[in-house]
Amino acid sequence: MGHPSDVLFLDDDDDLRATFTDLVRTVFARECHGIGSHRDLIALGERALHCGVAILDINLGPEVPSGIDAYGWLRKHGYGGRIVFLTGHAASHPLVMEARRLGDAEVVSKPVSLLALTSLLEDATPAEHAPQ
Amino acid sequence: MIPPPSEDGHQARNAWRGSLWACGLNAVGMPLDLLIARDVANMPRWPALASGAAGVLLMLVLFAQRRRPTARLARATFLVNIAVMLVALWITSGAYAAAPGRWIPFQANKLGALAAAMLAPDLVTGSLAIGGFVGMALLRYLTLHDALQERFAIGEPWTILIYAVFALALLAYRAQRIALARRMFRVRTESIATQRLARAFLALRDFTNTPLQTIELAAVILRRQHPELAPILDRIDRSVDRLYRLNNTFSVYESQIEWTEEDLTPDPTALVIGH
Repeated sequence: MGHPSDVLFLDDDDDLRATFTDLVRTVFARECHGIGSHRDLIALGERALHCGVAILDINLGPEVPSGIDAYGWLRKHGYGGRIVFLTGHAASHPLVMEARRLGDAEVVSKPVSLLALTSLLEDATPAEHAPQ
Repeated sequence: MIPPPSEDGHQARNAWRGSLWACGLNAVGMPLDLLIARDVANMPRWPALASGAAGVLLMLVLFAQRRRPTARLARATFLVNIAVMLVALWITSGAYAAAPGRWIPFQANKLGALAAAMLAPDLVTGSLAIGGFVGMALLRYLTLHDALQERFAIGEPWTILIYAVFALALLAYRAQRIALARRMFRVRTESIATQRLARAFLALRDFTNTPLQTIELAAVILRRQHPELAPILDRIDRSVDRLYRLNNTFSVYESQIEWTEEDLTPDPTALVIGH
């Protein structure tokens, strides 16, 4: 079972995912569930829904569900935590525009600094974001 | 990546097409004159047939060069085609003028002048062709006997000058349209090139953002776990920062991209290297 202080990190890049997970554990002393695809998210199930913050890469590769699909899955299953989209794409890119239109998710551009990351993780108050 | 078509290539292809049509009209139109002249006594058949055959031959020459058309070839074939027609018309108009009954003079020349305005490869070639049709008609008139000249309808053959004015006006208008189309073609080509460049730069930026993010975060972990490595990690941070600043310069291209469905889940490598 996940914990509200846990962080969910979805990115199709293995190295970034492993590094981000290590960083959250080492620097922020929080558990991080690093997953690489929409399928991994479904497999993680309840543990994903109990995370306090979900950081989702928008583009997960050609012809596979995107981070926006992952957002849809989380919200559909009652996830009430903070969702942050992390993207390396242009602000005018259609997927980024679509993510911005969602309203209840933030869009942050790669690269994100340690300071910005600290802000993202510390602003997510675990107690408030348990699944409904 | 397929290069956009060149402006010269586009112009040459248009000129080639116009010349092909002109030769086609000669190949079809001149033999048709035989039908009209079937009851005219002493009308030689060979000028019309020879002119039509020359039109076919020139079409074959143009067709052989269809993959590498040049404006020069188009101009040359167009003018040769007109010259052959003028020789044929010179001969047949003498027989028409001498035939009993009323002849409306130089109909083919009037039609030819208008057709030249529509099909000429360029302004100079078109003007030469129009001048040829009009000049031949007037010169031919002057070489006819007085008795034959007196049989001409009122205003003939000078009405051909009105046709010449209209043909030249049409030619000038068409040249203006072609120049406008060329300008639009140039702008469009530049826009496509800029789009491709912008796409490649942004793909490069998007492609490098993730590994740079990994390096930066890995450096944070190392700094935390091995404080003694700080001088080395400072160098890494500075290098990463320089790459970030380079990536930021590509942001100016964002506004120049018209995104398509294919961009929704792009393969950045394909965008950068083109396949």
